[in-house]
Amino acid sequence: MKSATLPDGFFLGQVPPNWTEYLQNGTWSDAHNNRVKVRIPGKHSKGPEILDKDLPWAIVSQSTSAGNRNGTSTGLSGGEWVIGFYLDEDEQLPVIMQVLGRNEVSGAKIKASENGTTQFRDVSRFSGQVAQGHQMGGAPPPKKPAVPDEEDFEKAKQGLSSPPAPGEELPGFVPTEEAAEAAAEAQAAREAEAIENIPEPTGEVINLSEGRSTDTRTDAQRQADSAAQRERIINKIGEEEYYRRVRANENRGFATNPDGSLAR
Amino acid sequence: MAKASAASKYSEITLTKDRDGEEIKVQLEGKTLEFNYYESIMSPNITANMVIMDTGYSARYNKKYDKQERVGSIYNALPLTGNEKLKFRIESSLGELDFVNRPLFVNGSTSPDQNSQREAILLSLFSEGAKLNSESTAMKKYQGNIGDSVKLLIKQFLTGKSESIKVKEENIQNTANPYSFAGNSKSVFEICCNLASKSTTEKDSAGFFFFETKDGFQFKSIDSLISQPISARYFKSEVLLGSMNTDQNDFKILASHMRKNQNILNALNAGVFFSRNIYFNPQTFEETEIEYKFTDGKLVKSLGKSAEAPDVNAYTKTNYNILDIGTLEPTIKGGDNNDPKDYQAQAAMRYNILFSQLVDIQVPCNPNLRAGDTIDCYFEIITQSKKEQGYMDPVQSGKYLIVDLCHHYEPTRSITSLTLARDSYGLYTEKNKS
Repeated sequence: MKSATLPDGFFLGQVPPNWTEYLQNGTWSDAHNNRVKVRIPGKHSKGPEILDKDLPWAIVSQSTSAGNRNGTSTGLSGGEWVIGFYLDEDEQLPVIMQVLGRNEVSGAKIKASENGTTQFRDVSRFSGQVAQGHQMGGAPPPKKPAVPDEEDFEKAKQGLSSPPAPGEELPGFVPTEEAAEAAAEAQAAREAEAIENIPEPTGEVINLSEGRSTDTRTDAQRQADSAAQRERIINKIGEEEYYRRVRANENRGFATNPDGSLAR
Repeated sequence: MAKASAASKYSEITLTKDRDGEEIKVQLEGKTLEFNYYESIMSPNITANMVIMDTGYSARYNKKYDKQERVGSIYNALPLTGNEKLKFRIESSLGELDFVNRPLFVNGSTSPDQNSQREAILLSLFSEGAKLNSESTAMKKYQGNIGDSVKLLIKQFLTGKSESIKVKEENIQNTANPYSFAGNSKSVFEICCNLASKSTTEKDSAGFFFFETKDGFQFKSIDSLISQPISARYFKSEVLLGSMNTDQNDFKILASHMRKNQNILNALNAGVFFSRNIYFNPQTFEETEIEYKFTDGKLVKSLGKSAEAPDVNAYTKTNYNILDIGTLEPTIKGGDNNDPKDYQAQAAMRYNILFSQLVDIQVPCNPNLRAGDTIDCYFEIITQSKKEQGYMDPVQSGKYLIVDLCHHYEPTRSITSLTLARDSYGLYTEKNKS
């Protein structure tokens, strides 16, 4: 039968639900290029004269992105309307080329064929989606994170004059955004640890600048650093504890900076 | 003149029309000027045509057209609108053509010569199978032996729809190859003719014909047709044998015309003698190339001596095929579905070789002949030597297959026109290889 609109040898058809080779047979030895069955109006009956099981398997042609480098699934699970052509003059070997876009707002949907045929009715998109054979099974999940062995570690170090210190920037390399964030977090952790180890006030005068180099920062930089440090301390010990300590210092006669830090 | 060439007798020829639930019959015995009946091994149904001369006293007009219900000619009074039934039995000296229980149907009619006193009416006719074929839509999946599928199709769409269509079991030959296929909404004739070219036999060459004769539908291999016993023996001579009334003259070739004797270029283009055949397996992506040569001896049977082939040094046609790997099976494990390697090149060779010689002959009417029959034809030798040594030409004479047949009846004579085919030369058939 010739179509009024499609060129000779081309067809428009519907893939019946659950008639992909993987769903039916489930093993690679039975598979044949991701074939699916196809019911073609004008060639195959709407009714049960020819059942889904007797329809021809159609080879599914895929995009070049499904070549040997990738090898992807066709994505056809049943119910889709497709266009294709026949490989042979007798029109016994169908090939599916493309799938038509779905209309999700269309009316009554069926979830499976009734009496062996879809009767060309709309099929629910989510019916009969079963994991394909190759998607099931496989290796057990890992019990612990992967740990590189010494050999891998030595290979990674090849070409370096000496192993880099933790956090050290390699010459000529601009740290990535993730590396910068990790470094900032490590710095914050070190400062929080220092705060944790601050001894309780004893009333003695402590020279906090002892052992430190001369501060060369501008006032604006100093204020910004102080504000950031106050925020980190508050995050670490809580706002209430922080201000309790500030008040205790002030009561002892220590000055407090406008940002809440102790004046030197 | 041979008795079989004399006028035949229409013992019955009746046109029947169902008009408003009433069956109107018109007798055409005295009105028929000419009747032609056709069969062909390349036609799945019988056809016929006839010329009637009507003087206007054949049938009454329908009241809804003529309140006076006058009597008029068949063309307008019946009126002829198509699908009327024609029952006929025509008796000749050698037999009869009987379609009383299997009427033909009117396809259409014209009135090429009409005046106030009479009109000539030309009717074209077809057998009931052609109408049922038009109504048939094969949608099922068919599988197994091709002969069984043909029987099933005939039962489903022809004999199952009409009691007047009969098929003899032995006329549907089983094949050596099974084939699974989907009907694809095609008609029964289209499918059966297509299956014929895909069929092969156990020992013989591939290639079948699906056609209709007065005996009903036939699905037979070429080799079985050409190897059957002859139905008649005809001779060509410019003199009558014995007396005017001897029966021997009923088998005299009245006229002959050699229409074709080889067409090498066409045969080369069709790859008859040497072809390359490429097969692609869409499952394994394996490409196979096979060269098929006529000289490999795969032509098993022939009508004369072995068919001859020219010296061909390279393949002259490439056939390209994609194998059917489990398209209609649950899994691919069954292998190829009717592997074309088994039949395609061989069938192309067999069909083309069969029609390498075509002869048109006219003989006294012989209703016993059917398309697909074989006959012996003896043509006179053209020689300066004495013909007492044998008057038959040893090359052109021999066994021929009837491709087309026409029984032609006129008020004064009856003849049968035949188109004969032959694949080889020689008076005698070489001992078959099978």
